Formats: sequence, structure tokens, C-alpha cells
Amino acid sequence: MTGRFGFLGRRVLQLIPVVVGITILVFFLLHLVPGDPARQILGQHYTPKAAAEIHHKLGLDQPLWTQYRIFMDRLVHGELGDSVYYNQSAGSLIAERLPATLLLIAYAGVLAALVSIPMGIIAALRRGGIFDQATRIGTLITFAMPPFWFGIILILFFALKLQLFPVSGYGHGFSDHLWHLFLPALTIALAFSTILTRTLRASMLSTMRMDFVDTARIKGISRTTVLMRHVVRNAIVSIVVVFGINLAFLVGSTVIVESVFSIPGLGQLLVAAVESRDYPVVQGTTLVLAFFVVLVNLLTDVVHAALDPRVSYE
Amino acid sequence: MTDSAAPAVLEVEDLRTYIATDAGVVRAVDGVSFTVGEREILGLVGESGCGKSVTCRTIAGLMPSPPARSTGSVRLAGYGERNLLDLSTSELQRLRGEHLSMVFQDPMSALNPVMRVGAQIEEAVAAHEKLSGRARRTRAIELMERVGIPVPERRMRDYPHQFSGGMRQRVLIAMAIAGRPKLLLADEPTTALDVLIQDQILSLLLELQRDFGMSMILVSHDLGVIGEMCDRVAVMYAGEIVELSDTATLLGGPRHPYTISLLRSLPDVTSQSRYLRSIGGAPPALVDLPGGCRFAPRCPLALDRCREWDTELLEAGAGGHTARCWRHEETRREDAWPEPSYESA
Repeated sequence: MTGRFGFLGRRVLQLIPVVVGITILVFFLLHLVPGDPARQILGQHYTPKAAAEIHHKLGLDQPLWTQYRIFMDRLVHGELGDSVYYNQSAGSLIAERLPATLLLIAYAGVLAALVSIPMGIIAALRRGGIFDQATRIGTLITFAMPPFWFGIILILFFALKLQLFPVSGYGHGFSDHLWHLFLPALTIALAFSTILTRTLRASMLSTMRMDFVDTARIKGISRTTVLMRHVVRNAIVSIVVVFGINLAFLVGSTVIVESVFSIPGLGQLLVAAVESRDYPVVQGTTLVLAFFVVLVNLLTDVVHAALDPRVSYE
Repeated sequence: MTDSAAPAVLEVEDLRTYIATDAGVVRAVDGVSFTVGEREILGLVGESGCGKSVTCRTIAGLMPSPPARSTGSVRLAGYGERNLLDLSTSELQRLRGEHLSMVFQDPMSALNPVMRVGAQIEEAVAAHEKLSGRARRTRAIELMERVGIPVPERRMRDYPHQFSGGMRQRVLIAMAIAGRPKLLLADEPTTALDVLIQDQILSLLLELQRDFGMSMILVSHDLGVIGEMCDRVAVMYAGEIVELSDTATLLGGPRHPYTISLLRSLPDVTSQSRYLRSIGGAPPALVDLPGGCRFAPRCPLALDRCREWDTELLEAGAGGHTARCWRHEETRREDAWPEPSYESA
């Protein structure tokens, strides 16, 4: 790769230390949290002797460094270890749950873009007008509402009262998934669209003041062409960066939204695994989510470079 | 030199552009009238903020409204009896490119940074003509050659940031002449460029103006540039034209104290003086202008009545030489001026 995308190779190499750093954080932070998987597994049958047996079986009686070495050793071979709770490897558990979460995030991203791009453009064009004010207030309200509460409101109204969408679940088949995930995706998208709309509006307003917009106007081309080819095309560049950063951030809200809407995704798995101190599953899930964040950031840079010829990450 | 009998391509009458700001209404252009003849280059000269750029932008319909409001009349030959200030958006679109065009001050920011240069020129080519992709490309290459961009076939695939300032200005000029406009507005086209490139760009503009038979308004704060390029000159101060004449008369026998001070403030390489003569004070804020002559507070020749009443442009000589000054007949006499107080350079 040369030219604008010359940074890609180096960026991929840079991922290695980042991923190693993430494993260290994930592993040791988890062991800082009080709690014992043996206690969760044994419940009422807890005796120190039984607990020690379980500790030995899980390797928890080893020194922390040895445990980390074993964890890393497995990871290099593509294994995350077996779940303490389920009779399954953590890897296969995650693989089962990953698609729902990815679909939810992508769905939310698409909905957010569909809502914010027209809103941001119109708000900038009719600056100070009724639509601009309404957008400002509307986005602020949705932004201020916590997702779990907003999700419940959406369920009450669209699912229970109007019965347009299912209350919870994931469904079977792609279109059924889309139907089931609409309300959860909307919950995330509305909070997300606040940032996008406001950024796009501000970016549009500053772009409209640029000299090259006058150059385009003086050519005698149509207003729509000036707007789309010159103003929006430039304003959208800054949106991509904001979109990327926040899309990664959205991973956090999926944890809550998946619980509210009972979606069998990674977030739900993570919450359950934390509660039961299912170390391999928590480690695996966190690692996958962290990797997703890193990947989205890399992708953001690639798209940014594709949209703006001046970009250079060298 | 100008032939005053030449039919006017542009007639501007009592043009006023007021801009609403938080500080009040800025009278950026305040009753400006002039004409530009066929194949004539009119210079608009004055300090920053005197309204010369706003005048051009108003003529081109580029002032945002609101906050700007314009009154008066702007008429362009070949565009009927229509006042350009009354045109609708689609009428303006038809006007631009084909009848008038504009070159901007800062070539660094006047090109779309994310669009290939060739595509930007092709856009100007295709604005008023239905052409095939290949014909557009050919025309764009011709234009780039015409304005002196080497290897246009390769350069058209580059982005603006890969061009130097002078080359970018050439690209802007290529786009401006793409529709063969009758009138070209050049708003300080060389201010952002270094001196050697300035000369090249000015020669190019002059050459194109002659070859295409264009009329031109050249905005500049540089009297040297104006002297080289223009047939006639309008000197602007605080939103008004204070003196209007053919270039030789204006530079050789100016009548308005502002024009005289401006010329005296030019550094003279042959002069023995170690001092630069500057004009004391600053131009007035264009909000809440006081009555009387706007230059009076800075004018060494100002009388009491100058501070009370303004005057019209008065006939000051042959060939339509006018000056906005009661004392325009005395200003040429050295004894009318008080001893200059030199400010150290």
C-alpha cells in the first residue's frame, strides 16, 4: 500500500501491543474484583474443601502470573478456556452471542445515520428556524434520557400499546431479527443521533462559510449541486470520525439495552458471566469487545483517508 | 485608455449593502455608482474594510441575505433591463459563469479540498453546456493549458493541496473563464501570492481579458497593481467612492485628499526621505457613521463644514474625473496642506 493508505500496514502492526495491553488489563482487573467462582458454583453446598478442589480444577490456586501465562498460552492457540458455569468453551459461547450484538450495533449505526444526516443538514440550512430549534430540543431530550429508561418507554408505547414491535427477543431469520431489534436499535440510535446531528450541523455551518462554496456558486451550477457536492461532501468528513469514535463507545450501551430487551447478545452474556464470576467467559467477552473497538477505530481512519485526500497518518 | 463613449457592460447605481450585525447595521457599501465599459478594466482601490470586496460580492449575488440587504440597481449588458439585485436563485445561476464570473482572493481556500482539480474545472465547463464526459475533459485540459498549467492531463487528477498558490490561482482563473463571461470580477486576485507570482497572474489576467474581450473589475489595495492594469480607477473610503477617474489622471493629478494621502504614503525608492508618510488615524467604524465627510476626521484639509455636511461626487476635471470633496480645487496646491508631521518609520 502506498500513498494515502500507506499508514495501514503500520497501523495493523501497532495493533499487536494494543491487544497485549488489553489482555493484561482484562485479566488483572478481573482478579481485583472480589468474589469466588467456587462459591457461585457450590452455592449452599460450599465447604472450604470442595472450594479448594474447584480452585485446583480451574487453576485458581496457581500464582496470578502463572494463570496469566496459561491464559495467554491458550489465547495464542485461539482458545479462551472453558466456561466455569456452562459445559461449553467460552469461545463457542461468544461465537453464539456475537452476531446479535454486531447486528444490534450496525443496526443502531444505520438508524442513527438515517436520522441524523438529514436532520443535521436541514437544521444547518434553516439555521435558527423552527426545525433547527425543534431538533436542538428533541435531540437534547433523547440524549438526556438513560437508555434503559428510554428503552422501557419505547416498549410500553410501540410494543405494548401499539403492538407494532415485539417486546423482547431476537427472532429467527434475518428479517425477523431486524423486526425484533428495531426498538433496541432505536434506543441506542436516538442517543447516538444527538451527537451526530449536532456535529453535522456545526460542520455544515462552518463549511458553508468556506471560500470554495462561493467558487462553486459563481460557476453557475445549481444550488443542490453546490450543497451536495461541495458543502455536504466536506462536512461529512468530520462526521465520519465522530461516528467511528462513538460507534465504538456504543458497545457499552448494548450491555444495558440487551438486558432490557432480553437479546441473547454479548452484553447479556457478559453481565451473566460477571455475576457468576465465570472468569474465562468475562475475559473472552471483554477481549472480543475491546478488539471490536480497536477495529472500528482502524476502519474509521481508513474511511477518513478515503474521504479526505489531505489526510496523512504518517 | 478608456473611451467614455464605449457602451457600458455594467451599470451600478446607488448601490447600498447594509449588513445587520450584533453591533448594529454595518453600511458596508453606501451609495456607490459606476459603470464598466466594454473591454474596460476598472480598478477598485481602498483600505481593508472600505467595501470594495462587498461591492463585488453584491454584484455577483454572493452576499448572504439575511444578514445583508442591498438596494440600488446593477444592470449588465445582455441581461435585459433586469436589476441583478432582483434576480431569483435560478436566474442568478444562469447569470453566473456565462455572463459574469469571479476570481477570489485566497486560492488556498477557494478550491474544494476533497475534489480533484480536473473535476472542479469540468464542473464549471458543464455548468452551461451539455457536453459528453470526453468533451468536458478536453475542454478542461484546454482551459488548463490556456492558463499555463503544465502537463494538464496529469495535473487534473491531483487534489488542490498538491498545487502551489500560484497554480491554484490559475485553476481558479480557468474555472472563471470557462463560460466565457463578459464581466470578470477579480477580488484581490494576487494579494495572497508572492511578488513574482503576482506579476505572472496579473499578466495572465490581462492577456485573457484582451483575448476574450472581457470587461473586468479589479479589486486591490495596491496602487502599483492598479496603475499597471486598469483603465479607470474608483477610490473607495468607508463604503463610498471618493474619487473616480481614468488611471493616468488619478495617479498623476489626484484631487481628493484621501487619494493624495494614499499616493504620498507609497514608499518611493528614489526619494531621499527615510520616512514613510502614513495617514494618521483609522477609518471610521461603518456602524453609526457621523454626519459630514467620512474622511474629515483624518483629513489635514478638513474645514468645519466638512465635518457637518457630506458632499456628492463633484466634477473635478475632464473625462468624468469626479471627487467627493468641497476643496478639490485647492488640494493640488502644496500650500493648502499643513506642514506634514512625520511619523518615524
